[in-house]
Amino acid sequence: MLEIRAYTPADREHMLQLQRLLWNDDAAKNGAYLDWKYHDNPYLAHRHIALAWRGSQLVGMLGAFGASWDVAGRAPIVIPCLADAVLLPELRGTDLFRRMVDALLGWLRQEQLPWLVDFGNGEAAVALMLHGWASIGPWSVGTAARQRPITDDTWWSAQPIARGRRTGEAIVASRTVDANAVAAMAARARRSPTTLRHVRDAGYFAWWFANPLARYFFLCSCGGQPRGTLVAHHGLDRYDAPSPTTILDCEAESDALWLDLVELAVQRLPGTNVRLWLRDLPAERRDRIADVGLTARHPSGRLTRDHDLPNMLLTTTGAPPSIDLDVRLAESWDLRGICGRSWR
Amino acid sequence: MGSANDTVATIVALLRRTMVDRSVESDTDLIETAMFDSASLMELFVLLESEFDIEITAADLDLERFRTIERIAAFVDAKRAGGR
Repeated sequence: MLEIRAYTPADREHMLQLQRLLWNDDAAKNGAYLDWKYHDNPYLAHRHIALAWRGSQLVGMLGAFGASWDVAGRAPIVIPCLADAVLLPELRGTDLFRRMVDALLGWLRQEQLPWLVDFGNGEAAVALMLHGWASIGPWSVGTAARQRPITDDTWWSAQPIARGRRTGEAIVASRTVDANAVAAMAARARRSPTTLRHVRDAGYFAWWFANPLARYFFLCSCGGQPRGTLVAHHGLDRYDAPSPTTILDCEAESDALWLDLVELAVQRLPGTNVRLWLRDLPAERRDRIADVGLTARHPSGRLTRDHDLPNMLLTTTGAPPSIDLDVRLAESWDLRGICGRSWR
Repeated sequence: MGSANDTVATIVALLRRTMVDRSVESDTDLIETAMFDSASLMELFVLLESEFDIEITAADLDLERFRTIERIAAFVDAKRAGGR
């Protein structure tokens, strides 16, 4: 008999042990990650974790944490994101995952939060679509796959100054992200008045770039006021592991400087492959990513061929909509500055 | 194009050959019995597309269509007839 209950602090040690299946083999690191993700973010007023118990044994977990989104000129709204799903192996394929999702949806409905999203791909996305979730994607991704991984990140720690090939701009590399500079660039980025975009301000960035299970890499053309910034990250696994190094956020005041930043990142980031989501990039940038060493892969339109491309799934909780926008339409979303590993 | 029974028989044979290592009847609830998880459903879609020369789209993704072999066969036959 399985019972689903909301997480309480008394469940912490059970949960950190269960999450060794997903987060990290080190329960202490899992504790730091839990605190960072579900407690430290100044915007995440709404947090829920569903735990599945078989007697006194914890057998499953599913989280939903709030994230702040807005349409230009309007007050931000909270749209929680599904995360951190883990089940004991013998319970995979059962209806337990669906039951945990239903529990979360009920709690969110009580808080008058109308939607729940999930950034997923692969089989998990298809499973949610089978249960009626709307698919906002899939969309294109740019990848630079290396024949030999870059396993040395000391270049970044030395804080070198490089020159952009197109602009000649001085670009400083660092392992420490300047959240204020990234927020300043995000605030200057063009945006549509009819799309939802994640709130990207200094408070959000300061939290995001403190993820204890990630390593960050920062490029900035910042003499005087910032003119371009790029942030990338890699997990704590080895740089020669297959997991990607992901460009999380890149903004620049000119297309040429944006290309310079991405090109330098592709050349210098550690890892076996570097990835960048291409959705919502202006055409002047998206169409030139081959120039900076990225190979684009676009959706084919075939579900069975595109299932490993990035996607966002969305469902309603049953609470009344908080904005007059059809959020089930792909064109209602601007996903710049977001990637599937944004919060991991 | 064969009959509905032919489609059922083909799907049963396909599943036994590739995905399911236990007895499966045409009306077995593949979801409730945990015979299929999300990973095996994607594998099923690939097999159906290849075997029956159909294309499964996002709009087709309704769990009820894939709950039993009978329902999968009905879905496949409708697809082949251009009904979906």
